[in-house]
Amino acid sequence: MGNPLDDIDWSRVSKRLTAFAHWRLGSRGTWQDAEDLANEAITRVFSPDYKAWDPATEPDLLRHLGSVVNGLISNMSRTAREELGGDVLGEEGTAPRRDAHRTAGVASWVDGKIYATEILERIATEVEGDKLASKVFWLEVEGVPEPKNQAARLGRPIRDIYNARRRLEAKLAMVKEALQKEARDAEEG
Amino acid sequence: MPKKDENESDRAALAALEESLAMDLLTDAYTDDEIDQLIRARGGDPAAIGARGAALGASLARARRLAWQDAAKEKRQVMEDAVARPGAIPPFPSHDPIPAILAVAAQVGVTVNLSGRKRGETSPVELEKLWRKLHEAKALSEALKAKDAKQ
Repeated sequence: MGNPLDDIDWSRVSKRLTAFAHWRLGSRGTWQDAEDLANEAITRVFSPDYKAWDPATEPDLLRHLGSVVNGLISNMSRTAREELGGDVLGEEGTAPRRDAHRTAGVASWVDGKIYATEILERIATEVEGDKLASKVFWLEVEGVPEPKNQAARLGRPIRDIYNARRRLEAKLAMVKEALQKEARDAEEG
Repeated sequence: MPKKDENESDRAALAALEESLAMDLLTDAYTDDEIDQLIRARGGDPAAIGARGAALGASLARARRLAWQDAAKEKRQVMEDAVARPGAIPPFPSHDPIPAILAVAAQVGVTVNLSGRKRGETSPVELEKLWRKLHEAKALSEALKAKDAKQ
């Protein structure tokens, strides 16, 4: 029986994993940072020093590598929070240290008094006009994150769900950008 | 200001949403062409990323296939060093060697059936060869145990 890592298209894996890492880093990282994370995850899957990829547990290598990248980003965030000494949100009414958000890994973090609650509320409002994207959003919030499960719950083809998720992601990016701009304008004003 | 607990749960919910949407990049929610387009649109170079990734994967796969050779070389070196160590092979007890041979065979866990042989049926040269082989096996076994204990 061959090794499951034989015959892998590493070009394809690397591009997807790097794109994933870049997305997850957001404003916290460059393409080089993303590629470094992807390469570290790929290297670890070959290394006897780390838990081996078990196709019986997770048949999809890319999902396994994605979870390794998520772990690496979490570790970076935890280290940054420890170095910054505690809650990076700062006191009420104040902006946190300028560098706090860059590596602290609080995905919702935006300079200034921006909280996840506000982001979620805005997204919920923005997607109201898109019935399917709105349903997908609420399923996500309720803890049903898998597209195939969302498709089953909503009785829709998986491709419709994928497209709705892209529209949802676009709304999320737009909301975060808008809130960042508002926060910057408020600081400068 | 939102209560700290409420904010932490919303932070977790938002982080989970972002992670879930990002995971689509790893699935057939996006075609390979769409991934390339997305990378380009965000300022990356998909061809260069793919080429470097292919080179890394090939290099790691090759290293894995050759790793057994390094382990085998190391084991052979341990064997050679064990046998070459002074005192590894004690002098052959030419006077009544059979009990000594049976004793070292028992230590190594090897069955050597000499009990039915009459003295003189097996030549001294053969017995000395057997003595040497058994002591080589004993020295190797002890050396490998010591190596494993260090790791």
